Amino acid sequence: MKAQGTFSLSLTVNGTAWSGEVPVEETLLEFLRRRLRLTGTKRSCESEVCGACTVLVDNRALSSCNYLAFEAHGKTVLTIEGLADGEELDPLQEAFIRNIGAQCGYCTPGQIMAARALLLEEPSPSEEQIAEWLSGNICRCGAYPAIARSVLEAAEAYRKRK
Amino acid sequence: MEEEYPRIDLREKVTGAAQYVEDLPDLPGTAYAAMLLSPYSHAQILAIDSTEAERSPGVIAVLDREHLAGLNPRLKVARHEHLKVRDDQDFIAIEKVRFDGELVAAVAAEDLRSACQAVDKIRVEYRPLTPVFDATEALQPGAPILHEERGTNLLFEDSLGWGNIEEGFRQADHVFEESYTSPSMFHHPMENIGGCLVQVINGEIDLWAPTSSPMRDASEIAHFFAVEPDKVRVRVPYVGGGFGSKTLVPSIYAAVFLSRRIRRPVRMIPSAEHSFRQNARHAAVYHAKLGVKKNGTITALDADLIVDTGAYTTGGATAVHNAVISAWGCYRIPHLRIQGRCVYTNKVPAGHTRATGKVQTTWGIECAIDSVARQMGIDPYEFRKKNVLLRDEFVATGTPRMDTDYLDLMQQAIAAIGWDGRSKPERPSDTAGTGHRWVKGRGMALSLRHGSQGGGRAYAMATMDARGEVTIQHTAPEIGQGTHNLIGIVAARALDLPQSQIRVRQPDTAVNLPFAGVSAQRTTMQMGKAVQNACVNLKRELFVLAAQVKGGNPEEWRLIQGRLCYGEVAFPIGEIIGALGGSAVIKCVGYHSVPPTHREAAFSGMDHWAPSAAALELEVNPETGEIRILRYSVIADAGKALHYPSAKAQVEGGAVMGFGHALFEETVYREGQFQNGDPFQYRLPVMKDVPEAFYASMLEKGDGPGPFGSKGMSQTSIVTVAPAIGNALYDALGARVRSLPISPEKILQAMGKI
Amino acid sequence: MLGSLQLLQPTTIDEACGALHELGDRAKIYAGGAELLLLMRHRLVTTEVLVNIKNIAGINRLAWDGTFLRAGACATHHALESSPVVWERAPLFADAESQVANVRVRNQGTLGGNLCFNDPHSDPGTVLLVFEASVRLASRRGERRLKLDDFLLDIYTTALEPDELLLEVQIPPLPARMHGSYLRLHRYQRPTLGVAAALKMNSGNIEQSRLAIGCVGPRPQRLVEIESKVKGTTLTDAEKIIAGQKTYLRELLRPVDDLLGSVDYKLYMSCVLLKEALHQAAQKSDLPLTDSPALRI
Repeated sequence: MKAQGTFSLSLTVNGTAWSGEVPVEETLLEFLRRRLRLTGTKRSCESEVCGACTVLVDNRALSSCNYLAFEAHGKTVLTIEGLADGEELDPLQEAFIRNIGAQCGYCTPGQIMAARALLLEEPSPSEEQIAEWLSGNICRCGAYPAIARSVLEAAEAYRKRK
Repeated sequence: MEEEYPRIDLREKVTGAAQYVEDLPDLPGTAYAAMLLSPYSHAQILAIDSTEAERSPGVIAVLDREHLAGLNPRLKVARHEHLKVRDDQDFIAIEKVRFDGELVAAVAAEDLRSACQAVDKIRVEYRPLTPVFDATEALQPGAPILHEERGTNLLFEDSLGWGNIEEGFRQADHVFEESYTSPSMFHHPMENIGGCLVQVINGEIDLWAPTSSPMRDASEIAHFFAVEPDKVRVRVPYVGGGFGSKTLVPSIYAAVFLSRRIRRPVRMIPSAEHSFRQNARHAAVYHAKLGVKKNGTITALDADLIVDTGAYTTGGATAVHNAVISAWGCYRIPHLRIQGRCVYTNKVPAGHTRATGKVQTTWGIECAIDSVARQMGIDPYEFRKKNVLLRDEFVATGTPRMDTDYLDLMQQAIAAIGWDGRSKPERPSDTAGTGHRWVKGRGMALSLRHGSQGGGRAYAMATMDARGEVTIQHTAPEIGQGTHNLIGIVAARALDLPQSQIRVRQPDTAVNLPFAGVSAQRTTMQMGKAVQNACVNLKRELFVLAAQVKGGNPEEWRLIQGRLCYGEVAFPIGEIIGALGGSAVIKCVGYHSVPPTHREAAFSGMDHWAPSAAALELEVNPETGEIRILRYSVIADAGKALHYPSAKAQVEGGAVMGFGHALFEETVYREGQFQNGDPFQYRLPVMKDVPEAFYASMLEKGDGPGPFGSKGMSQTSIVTVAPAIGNALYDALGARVRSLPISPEKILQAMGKI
Repeated sequence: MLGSLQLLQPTTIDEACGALHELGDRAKIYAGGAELLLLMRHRLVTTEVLVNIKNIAGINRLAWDGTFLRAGACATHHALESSPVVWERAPLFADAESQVANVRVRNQGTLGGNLCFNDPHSDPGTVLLVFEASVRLASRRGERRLKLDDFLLDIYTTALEPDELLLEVQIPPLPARMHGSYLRLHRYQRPTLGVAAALKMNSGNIEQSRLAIGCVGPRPQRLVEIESKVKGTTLTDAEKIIAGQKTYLRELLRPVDDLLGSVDYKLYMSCVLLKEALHQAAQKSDLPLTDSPALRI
């Protein structure tokens, strides 16, 4: 058994397979932003506190800033860029636009991805569940009421879709 | 029709397509910069040894006081119309460091990891000095002096007064003294402060930076590096929040310096911990003496304010001035004296922050009004109604007359939370043993901002092409408020075109259209007017051209829903502009001027008043001191909201930040250091902190001086939250907390439980 | 930004122990990284090699073996908060796990990592003291079992030897008729105070109690002295006894003034939350078994 400085990573990002060598210390955030140029996922606190870098790994919300890229080996990563179906926006994205759920927009990709993870786990969340879940995603512009409304509306749209 | 059109920046923001400065691709040959900040709040720099760092792999250049290449490091403090300011800050530490986080060195390297590793190898020898973190202590004889050449920590004083203060207190039957303190706080934009990308091409400094004032920044950079103003170009991509913090900070100067030095593009990437050390809100002490007649009429207010600007002047002049001119609230006070002192301490320098200087004074005056009313046995609502300024009343020399209806604002605010405005008549006795775990209380607060302040002329340019599409160029960044959407709406309405036909460009100072920046509630008013005027001018040009091409007089032409009309006949715009040939366009500039500035006047360059009223219901657990905000309403006078959902979002967002200021936020300095300058320790409001019933709405009488009856209103909601909570807490428990944040521990202390 | 790192991926306990033995202080165990990577970014921890133990078979297993609920070191907080077997055998623990940090941290962070860091501002340790849980440790020298109370030594310090690996946590269920409650004061990112109480009531009197407080001192503590004083008393008397225990708590917990509050505030709130936790635990004793999450303060 020998320690390796790089890792042969294979994963799927937004539906596209990727394989290659990455340094062990490369975070998933660095991998997405610098290697794949998927800059919708934002860097902010780098402490797992703010949620701006939230992505889904095998449908679970994670802080990509503090998650080593090699951990995503064999897994499926979804970022904000992978949410819309071509020009057709996801119901969450539509609801965020309708309700002004974004102001400066910097936390928005993280908010939407966290909400996506919630709706996968709980398709009909109560307002309390939304607040509990999204309290790990900080919006300094204070768009919380609009974000909560957006998630409720999107939940309904998802349910209707099914 | 306009309100149906989605806000123009949001599609990019919800899809991840919106690019902020860190998302811009590297330029060819981009080097990465990393910073070394001072770990001391006050220390002399004895020596800096960067030899090991310079030899570190990948390093291109080191910047510190030994590597300035003859540059004068002194930064220029923004001029203030009323107060004399002195330049007192170097962009990189020279003799001393005066706050925990001051920039001591920077390294440019081939990649960020190499830059960070090299920074760790810079050896700095400090001789620690005693720091002072409290402004009142800093004024005492024998306190450590930050700037030796001044001999004092007092920067300057400002004052405001009218009537005769002695006479005012002679007329009073009761005199009350009240003190309220506010800590320093941090803006905490989600996009860290201090990042940029810069290159130098043909001697032109090309800077991409998150900033609220690109034109001002361009001229400051030109001045600092002694180049012609046309040799600096600032472009602003989307900005991840600012709240006053996104200005030219030392790290940006460092990046520009390094880029000029190494002749390569440089990218600065600040961490959250760096961000915490770039800017702050001023801490303040508000002390007021109020004279009141038996019947509840205020006769005099004598207020003394101490404003803590941190280690350097930065926003000190604006903060102390804003504090002084707002310390009297919104009341009829015949005899007034307000004095404000601006003081240095060893904290992170405080710049401008959402309602600069006024969050602190509104907390003071609105709690004092409540407290005085209760001490006199008068219901605070009645007391406010009796003393608040009414529409058309004279306010102060150099200001517009009162242009709002506070009685309506108060009525709407209390009605929204189902309250009649009356407080509990008597101070409830200690609630121990009542069996009620949670006790309810209600309170209100008013505020008055001077709207759309200063800044000189604002310019915008409108260009119409042969397709009839209009492009607006300007220098107002989209920092979260919906600035670009607002510009699009104003242009669409001014031209009677659908908003889909309006393009709003990102700010670029190369267009040379001055604007003071998206701050001080001036965007709607000043930029809105400039865009409106540009469009009016464009329309006039279009009619002149139409008359030339098709006949008639320009005055007889109309632009209706995208078609040029002459009597009953309508022509597509393209047919008229196309007559100019090939790629012809029509291009017009518009501007807005604020009222001329009177240097001697306390209130200068203001267009209108920006008031608000708030009412709040909370419950507090007397055993734990925990507060739950149940209902909160804030009503702002918007004149007319040009995009109602965006304006409402601003009011809501301001209130949410207000909850943070009221309940959690404070920067803590102890044992010589900034203790909570990181996202882990600095508590921000989260979704769970938002009240169950939260009403943010606007009074819209269409009577503002801005485009289509609008006003500046974005800072009106933040200021009322803390005093409304403080007053509601008193209503609940009869305990008053006089220092922010209102923590459970302070509530327990006020109740005598610990 | 993290410095350069190397990775070892053992697939057996022997391999992992061998690697730890060989590398000594050049290596750190990697069990998810939620805490480790944060500390490394701030240069509070440095290492050359990460020994990723997550590929060891069974290391994230959650199972009931008839005596213990056995939680593998690499079981994530999310696995614990959503596991039917944890809710069945130790609902108090499952509830506390559901309160750890935020959803992203719960998806990444592991129980073993949490306990081995022994960050004082943490939830699981406090609750597990009430369960009288044990940890199973392995090294090239063999395996050993320690009571959690003996494992958690001091702030960021445990009894784990440098070459040793935490394999699993063994959690015995609470004794029959004993019900618990976990309350926390959570105003900042990290909890200020966590209180776990489990009670067995007998006709209105406390027959047996287990009390623990975390976050206030360098490590979570069982309140043995208070447990013995409240034995046989009514709830009302127990509350009075607790109100008089500030000196004991001060000496046992060794609280300090910090950003989360003053010593006086922490001790005052310790008593308030203890009383409330007792109350809630007693209420559960009167009710049929429920899995409802405890009231959050």
